[in-house]
Amino acid sequence: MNPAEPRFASYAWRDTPQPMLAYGPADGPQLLVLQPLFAEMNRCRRLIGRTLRLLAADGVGCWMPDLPGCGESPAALASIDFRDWQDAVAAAAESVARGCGRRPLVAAFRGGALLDGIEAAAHWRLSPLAGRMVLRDLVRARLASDREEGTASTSAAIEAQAAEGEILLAGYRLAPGLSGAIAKAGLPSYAEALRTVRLEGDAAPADAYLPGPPLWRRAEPGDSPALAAAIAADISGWARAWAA
Amino acid sequence: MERSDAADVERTVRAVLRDVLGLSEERVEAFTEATPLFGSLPELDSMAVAGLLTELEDRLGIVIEDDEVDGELLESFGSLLEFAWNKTLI
Repeated sequence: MNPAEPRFASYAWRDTPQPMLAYGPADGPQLLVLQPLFAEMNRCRRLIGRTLRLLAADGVGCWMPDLPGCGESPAALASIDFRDWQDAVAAAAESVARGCGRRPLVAAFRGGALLDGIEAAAHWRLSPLAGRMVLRDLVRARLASDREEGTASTSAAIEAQAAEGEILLAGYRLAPGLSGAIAKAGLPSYAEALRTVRLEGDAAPADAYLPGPPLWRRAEPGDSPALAAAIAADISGWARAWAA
Repeated sequence: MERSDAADVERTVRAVLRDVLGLSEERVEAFTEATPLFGSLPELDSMAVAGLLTELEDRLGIVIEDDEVDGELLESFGSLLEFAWNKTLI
């Protein structure tokens, strides 16, 4: 068996097993991987899969949970609030810690960083963004599709509607408890170490800038083996420094 | 206004079109002010418009309001460029 190929694992959230993919060895540095939120998760799936295969081949164990209501999770997204996601991330980290005997490091992509409120030796982030920007993208996509259908609407009207009840944004049916909390969610700050990485051309502060396209913005899922290799190299160096 | 600033903004707008829509370098370099965008590029659907605007905001350090996003904004490469210039250079 190719050690870089993923295995199906799971973690328990509210006594229900939720899917988690595991890559690489169970000894050595262990990494909990938090995916981007909503459409960005699909757009980055290939990029992250490639990255984790490279890390696995390099001896870093990687664990990638699907949040309740996302990916292969059996839960309905409309029944999920932000707290559920935070609890799920904590449960996934516990599950990795129990299985490997050590708490994992955390690598969060994009909006996944909003959920990295857990205790870890160190945290790594790629192009994180505030919750209101995550919601803004969803609202903007909804505005664009409304306009295409000839319906006049505004961001303010859509946000007000989201606060009152379930709403369909960019193909995702969200409960008010999720969209409202995302709008308010800031990036967690830590007493522990944090490394932030962004793409070249991004004006925001970061510890390093990697060359590559922002695949999370692509309407059609794209791929970039070079960016995956650059991300894997950055995470690997960082994870080894912390594991040592 | 420095000429080099306008050229920087144009480079950024081309890079955003390339990166967000997944277009080749050659294709984007061949865009002129008259090149039609929305309705002519199959890659540029309503979801892609949202990503394009947000990425322009991030890279140019600007904020694009709802009422600035009308049919004319993405009519041609020239209209998008002029919008970006107005936002950044004035």
